[in-house]
Amino acid sequence: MNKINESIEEITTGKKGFNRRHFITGAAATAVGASALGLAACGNSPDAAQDSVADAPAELIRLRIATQKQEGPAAPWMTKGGSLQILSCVSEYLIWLDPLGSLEPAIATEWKATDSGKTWTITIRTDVTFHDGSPLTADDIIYTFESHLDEASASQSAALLGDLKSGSIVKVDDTTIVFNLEKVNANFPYVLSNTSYGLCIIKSGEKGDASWATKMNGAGPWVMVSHTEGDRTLLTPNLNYYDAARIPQYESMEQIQYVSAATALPALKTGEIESISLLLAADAATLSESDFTLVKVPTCGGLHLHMRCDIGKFVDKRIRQAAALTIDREAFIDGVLLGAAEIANDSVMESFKTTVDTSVPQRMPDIEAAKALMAEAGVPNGFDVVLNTWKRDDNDKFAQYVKTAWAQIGINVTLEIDGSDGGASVFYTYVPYPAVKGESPENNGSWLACEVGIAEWAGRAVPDPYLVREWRSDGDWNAAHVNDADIDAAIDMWTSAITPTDKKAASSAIQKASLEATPYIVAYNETRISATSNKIAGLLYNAQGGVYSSGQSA
Amino acid sequence: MLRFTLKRIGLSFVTLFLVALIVFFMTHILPGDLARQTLGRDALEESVKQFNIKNGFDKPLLTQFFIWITNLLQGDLGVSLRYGNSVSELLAKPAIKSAQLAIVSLFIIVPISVFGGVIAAMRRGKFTDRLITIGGLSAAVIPEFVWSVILILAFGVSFRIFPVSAFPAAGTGTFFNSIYHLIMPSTALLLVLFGYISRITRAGVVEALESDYMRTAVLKGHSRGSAVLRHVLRNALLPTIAVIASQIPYLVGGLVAVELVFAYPGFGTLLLGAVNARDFSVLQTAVLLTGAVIIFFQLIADLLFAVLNPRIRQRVTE
Repeated sequence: MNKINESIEEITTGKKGFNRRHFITGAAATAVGASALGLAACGNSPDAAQDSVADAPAELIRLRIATQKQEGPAAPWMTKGGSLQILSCVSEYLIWLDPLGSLEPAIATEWKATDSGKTWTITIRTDVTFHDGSPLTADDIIYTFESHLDEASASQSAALLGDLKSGSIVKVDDTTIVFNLEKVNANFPYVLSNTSYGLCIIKSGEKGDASWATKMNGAGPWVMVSHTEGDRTLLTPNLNYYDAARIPQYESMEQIQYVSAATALPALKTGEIESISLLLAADAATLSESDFTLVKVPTCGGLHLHMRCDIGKFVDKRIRQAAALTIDREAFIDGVLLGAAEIANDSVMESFKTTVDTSVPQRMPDIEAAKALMAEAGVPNGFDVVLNTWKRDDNDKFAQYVKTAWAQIGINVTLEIDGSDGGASVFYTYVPYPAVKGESPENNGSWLACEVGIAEWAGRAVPDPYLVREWRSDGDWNAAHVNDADIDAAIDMWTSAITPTDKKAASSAIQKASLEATPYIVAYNETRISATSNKIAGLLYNAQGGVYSSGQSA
Repeated sequence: MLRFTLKRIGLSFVTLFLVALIVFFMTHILPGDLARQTLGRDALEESVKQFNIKNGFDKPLLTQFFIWITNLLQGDLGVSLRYGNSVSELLAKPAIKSAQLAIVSLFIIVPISVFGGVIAAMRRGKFTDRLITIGGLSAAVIPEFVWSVILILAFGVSFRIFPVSAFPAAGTGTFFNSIYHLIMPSTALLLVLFGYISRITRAGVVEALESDYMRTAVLKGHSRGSAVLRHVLRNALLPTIAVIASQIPYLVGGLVAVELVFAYPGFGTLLLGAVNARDFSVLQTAVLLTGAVIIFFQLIADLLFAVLNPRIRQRVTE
């Protein structure tokens, strides 16, 4: 039984008491944790893959993997898409969320909460060194977090530390650090884990801006040898890595950035590269399982279609419910995504298997009921609306599907799709705002201002980032501008819940309130597929695509 | 000729300035909030403001243009908004890579195309001529990225003769291995350019074959082949050289699709990335450099044409 199943078993049966590894019920079914179930189901468990080569003679090879194009420098303060795979190799974190979903000690050997999760005490190890040979100390850790909290550094990871204020991290002694949060956060260790990939520990005094990417003085299992922005990065194993069992057994790793996984496929097939982390199902289908290990990782990431609850044509929740009832989720997953997704139920809780309330009925397509709701809301003939998103494979397809689906109840959708890289031209430009009641940014076609939009969300270890930033009425990414007391109360229940029972109850409340208000249509959660040559072992990816190398090679 | 040359050089500088002007203002009318795009979704309003001040985006556009041009003339290409490091550093490697691809491509394209053109001319009206001209034209109408995919599937994936990536693995980039990796992309370009260059060569050779000096050479006892080598090529290839010169800018900066398909980190890829990321500092400089290369080789082509045809020279200087 893998760690996740074991964890789920313990939580659901209450076989074990509450301990460090189970301090959050949702933890056991993190984005990646849930994936472990999927891994087992598809018979390509990394465990199995590793076991099968455990006795193979060690052979140092030059590993080459395809990665995404960087959208910015691989620097802790400036993390953007594509940098993750570099940072996950050269950097070290307080805690590791391993690919099977367990929080594992890294720099932090122990973490414990007091004050119901408002104060977190971290014990650190003292044998970690940066790549330049200097020891990694408690001061470096405090400096790292303070640097993110410093507005001058314009850190893109600062929002992850919303519960912290500058000066609230205290060094007790050389091995003990206390994080004093502004409010209870039972999931705080997940914030400190490598899924917050910008929060890698940097040396005191060093800037985590673009200059960091020239040396990448991290403390991770790989050392940067050379790096060309937007192209490739050559890494060599860090032989001084504190965890001897995780020192990579490869001569080197070359990360090559491709514009898409599809363009890297020929190189994978011919053996010029050994692995691709994020494949579309259609591309994966072209690979032979006798040559490649296909790992399907269900995640909690996916597309969230928002409908403005404060202005426009979707203010009446019956219209939003009607819109959601037109979506045939199973048909879309099977027909368009070739099965590479899990059905969702218009909330973000379904992926978190240990806490989800499975008794909440799944919303199914029902056009007649949708028409009735439209009539009740006074718009039996529908209306015209503009749907904004950007040109990303899934977004495009789902937007087209929504257009067709909504037409069945008279909602005539005009698609406005931003064709720029990452939606940077229109869709993801906006004036950030706290979604204060009554504030209605002008609809300029951008994500947080448009009436209806589709944004993609990456997998997260816990649902908290979605809940706090997207679903709460004061969330800064509350694109639907939902201001629902039931949802807010349920989210508060979730963030303060510690016991498995409380977490389950909170999840149930969130699921029900989400279905009732339907500010977002969350039709499915993505399954991420990676393909690795069968000659390779010890190379895994988490749900975000971060590289996790165990100490095995080929 | 000197007057003609000076005039053309002068015109080139004027063109370059106009290119700089257009590039600058065109890039600035692209939609999007640069600061927010660069700093990310979580950036605070104050950070956005500081970013704009730091990069001079708070100044009027005309002022920004003159600052950019002045810095450019002083050798300061600026800092990439996307990656934060110097533009010159970012441009250097892709520029070298593109030059390498262009050189290898030229070494493959020129001899094969010229040889094809000469053979077509010498077999004028026969099957070989038709095969070369029609085949070349047919190949030229298929875009290079389609050829790239076909070549990858055929010679990379199926027969495994050539690597599907144009860039060797780290530590294996020897001279010959690097060239070996560039053969497939060069072949894709050959298929596109062969028809054009071989037709120009063919036309020149056909004209020369019908000339009086060719008849004289044959009458003097030269064989047909020898006469072509000694007398015809020298005259017939000059227009071809000018045409080749005009294709060099395309080989340096216009190979976006080929570079993407072969995962080659050249100038085209950099340009595309800069456009998509609205990385103005890189985009402006890269486009300007591409423009400079185009203008330079166009100048070379013009001068060659003028050398070949005194009437052009005369017309421009008048």
